[in-house]
Amino acid sequence: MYSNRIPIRRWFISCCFCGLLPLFLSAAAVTAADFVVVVHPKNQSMMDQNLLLQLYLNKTAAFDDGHAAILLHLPRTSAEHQQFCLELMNLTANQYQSYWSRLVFTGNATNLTFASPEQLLRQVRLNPSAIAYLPANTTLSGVRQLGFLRDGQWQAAPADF
Amino acid sequence: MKSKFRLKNGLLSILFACNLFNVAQAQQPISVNGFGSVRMGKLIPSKDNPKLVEFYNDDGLSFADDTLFGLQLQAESDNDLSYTLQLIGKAVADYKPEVSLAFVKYQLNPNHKIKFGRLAVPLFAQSDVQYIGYAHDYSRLPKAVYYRFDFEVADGVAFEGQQIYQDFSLNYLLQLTDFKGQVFKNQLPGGIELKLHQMKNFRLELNYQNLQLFTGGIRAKTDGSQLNEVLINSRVLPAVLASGASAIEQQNFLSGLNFNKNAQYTFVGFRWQQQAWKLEGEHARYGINDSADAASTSEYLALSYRFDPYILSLHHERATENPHNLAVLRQTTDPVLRQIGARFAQALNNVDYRMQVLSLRYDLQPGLCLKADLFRGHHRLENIGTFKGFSLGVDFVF
Repeated sequence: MYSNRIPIRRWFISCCFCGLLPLFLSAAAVTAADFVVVVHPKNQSMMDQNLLLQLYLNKTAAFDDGHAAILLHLPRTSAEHQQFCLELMNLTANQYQSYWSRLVFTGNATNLTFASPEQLLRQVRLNPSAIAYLPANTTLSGVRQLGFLRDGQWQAAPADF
Repeated sequence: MKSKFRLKNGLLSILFACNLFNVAQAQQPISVNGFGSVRMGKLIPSKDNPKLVEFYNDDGLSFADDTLFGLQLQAESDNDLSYTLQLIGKAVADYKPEVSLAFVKYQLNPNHKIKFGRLAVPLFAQSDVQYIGYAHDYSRLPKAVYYRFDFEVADGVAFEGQQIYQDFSLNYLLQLTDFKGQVFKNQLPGGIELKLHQMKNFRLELNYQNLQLFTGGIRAKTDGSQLNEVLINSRVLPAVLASGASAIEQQNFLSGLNFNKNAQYTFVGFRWQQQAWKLEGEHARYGINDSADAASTSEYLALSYRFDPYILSLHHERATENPHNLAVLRQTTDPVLRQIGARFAQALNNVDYRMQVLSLRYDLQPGLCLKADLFRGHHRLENIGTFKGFSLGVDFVF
């Protein structure tokens, strides 16, 4: 009854001839980088990699002390944001945006907040619920360092930070 | 379907607008988000068009079937209480706004929340995002399963929660809703009214590392008075009265066909991701039990590969209604009535097709992607047979 099968091979070959395959293969690789994760100085919660992952995937909405967390991101087209998504969640920035749009349009999250490093630092200084990541070499003041994400591995900051 | 979500039931919208206004007065932020799809496509039939719902039913290139815009307002009055209002305007409905979501959410604790209002019904695994093209990899979610039923949204209350244990996480959803809308749109333009009372809906999703398993379903009491009137009384009753069967036989026969029974939908599926590969599938079964509406089964299996920023997907989908399932006629012995029943069942339950779809997604930037697909299918009905087609479009969120 269903003798007319899809000509998959023909389509695939057509795609290759159209030049799509070389484009697929040219996708740029992003190199590893270090990030520092910061919160408001009054935020005394502890952080580990699993909790950071759950926060940024909206699996949980609160720090370990039960207070709500507000996530802040570097600009979504920035190399730093793309790298952070890969290192923490193993998702590209595109995948992360697609994943997050499911949460937003089911009413289970508000949209992602993006800002420049300077704006992020200002917001974290002002908002005890805010959490943000920044390049590890960013000069910091007025915030508390929770720890570092290095090559995808979490390292808690020393207690005196 | 087009009329159900419109603002004629606008009280809810007004209440939400008032709530949002009050929140705005309190200087709390209101987030405005949107989504949309603009897509053109064409179905090339070998004989007749299969006339699947919102799937290139007209000749020529269509810009309407998959094109839509959505707008969502969200506000929080405090950390635990929030409001969501979502409107969708579909090109096929001339962009008349439909309230697709309108609910108040109360966060009971970090892992549990309740929602009141117009909610997405867990009819299938991705029903709640089927119009958010950017949120999935296909030009449209597999048509066989995501057929676009009216009762994708309903008014009621929901309890949602999650439990996390080491690498496992379990998400669960329970709902109690009511619905009134149009169904059987392949039988009558615009469909026929159906009410679903006391819809008891659930969804479970278990995540373990790269694997997701999900299941869910709904069960509801149907008020199919209009279905009985339009489909049975006008199409079947004259033949039944002229059949010469006894009054009891006729009564038993009509009782068997009657739509005022229980509707039941169930689905089960999985998603597995390994590096750039993704495999997902879903199987669904639904219908109005012991009625003229034969149980429908639909399913798809999809394999995707990501070459960021591209995603290439190939999926096979199938939808089947079994018109030869005459269990509903088990109390009917009269041969003439059985013949009438068989003809009616075949006319009513005539969706039976398979389709293969090759899709390409290209992410221009986070929030914006282009999609193209080629599809080829075969319908059981001889007057339809093989069909093929394509679509090109853009999906976005903001």
